[in-house]
Amino acid sequence: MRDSGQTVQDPASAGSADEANRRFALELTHAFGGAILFSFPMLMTMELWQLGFYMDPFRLALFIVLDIPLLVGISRYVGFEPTSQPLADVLDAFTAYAVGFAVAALLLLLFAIIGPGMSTNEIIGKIAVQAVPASIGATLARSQFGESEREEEKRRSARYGGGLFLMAVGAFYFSASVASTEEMVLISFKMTFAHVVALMVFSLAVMHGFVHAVVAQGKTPILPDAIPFWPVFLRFTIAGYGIALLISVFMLWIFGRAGGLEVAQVVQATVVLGFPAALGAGAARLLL
Amino acid sequence: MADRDHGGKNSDIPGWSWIFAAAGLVLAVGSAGFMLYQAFAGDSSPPQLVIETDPVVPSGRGHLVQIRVTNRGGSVAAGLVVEAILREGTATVETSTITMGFVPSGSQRRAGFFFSRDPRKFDLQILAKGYVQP
Repeated sequence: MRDSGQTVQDPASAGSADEANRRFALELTHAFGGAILFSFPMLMTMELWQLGFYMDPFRLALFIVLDIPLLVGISRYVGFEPTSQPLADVLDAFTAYAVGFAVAALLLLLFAIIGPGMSTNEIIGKIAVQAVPASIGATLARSQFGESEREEEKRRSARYGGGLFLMAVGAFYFSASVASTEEMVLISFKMTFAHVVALMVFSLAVMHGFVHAVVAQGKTPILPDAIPFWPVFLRFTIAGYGIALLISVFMLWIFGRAGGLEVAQVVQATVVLGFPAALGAGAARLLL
Repeated sequence: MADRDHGGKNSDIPGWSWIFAAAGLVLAVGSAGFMLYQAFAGDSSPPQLVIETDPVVPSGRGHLVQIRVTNRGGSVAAGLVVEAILREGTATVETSTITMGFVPSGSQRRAGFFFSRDPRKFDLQILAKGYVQP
């Protein structure tokens, strides 16, 4: 169903506006589903409720502000070539944020995590910190529940930069869910230097497994037959793990988990958080 | 959600898309702006706790004194220890202690003290003893 973009007024054009609204309403329900699916573990995590009221407000504002370009990027990179409508991507990003905010507010209210007796600061903080992962879920739902009508259309994420961006999204989402928890801190205190090195090797191995599968699916510029080891390992696995570590240290900073720690402890915490971040990076690249 | 996968123009974006996007813009700017305001103009003074008691009620074989703790300061009080002491003159008759997880700035939390003696027959003193910064 290719719309030729005619501007001639005819009875069918009024029908297609209704059709577009109807399709939008359907995709909105997908977005709500995606938002709930992606955010409910965090909505049921105590440390994230607490971060809502004790997180540094400047960092929380930054967390919200950075979410919007992230959503625009997901909308763009999980979209299809060759068409490009930046305005539509921006509208979709803000719509996803509205859906995420609504889902977070609704579930927090249902779970009695927000309610009377709480200050505005506490309520808005709790919703806002959860709205970010919920909005990512709302945007991703579009890519999973929708379909391309032409099999030969390649997703923009098949390009190298787009693939790296998707890895960043996956790393961001998976590390956000774990970064705030007390268990994460405990793990990094219990681990010795040997544990840290072993975890890095394991993270790289798992990541390479995901990357190999992605290349075999033909979703990258590298041809799926006779996949070479070193080019793939350096260009995709190492790059992806680097992104995962950078995202991890950023998440530690934004949730205030790096404060008062010496460098060695920050590195240790980054490697620990880097494990779920690497899983997220690999999984996002594979599944999206 | 906006129909752009088929080479359409901006006029093909559904009307509802604009409405929801506008709502999202308001929510994003509103919540980020509110947080920025808190960051630069907000109150970051230490916790200041106000404790109000409810009437004593019987509980099992003892008595229960419920309290409402409000934090009028600018920072959250974590691990807040509150102690209730029953006195007769200068003698201490009974004490009871509570530890509260978090009392955020501007918010109120509820708790209760159990006593075996009837607090109405003695002087009841309730004090916040200490907290930690999370």
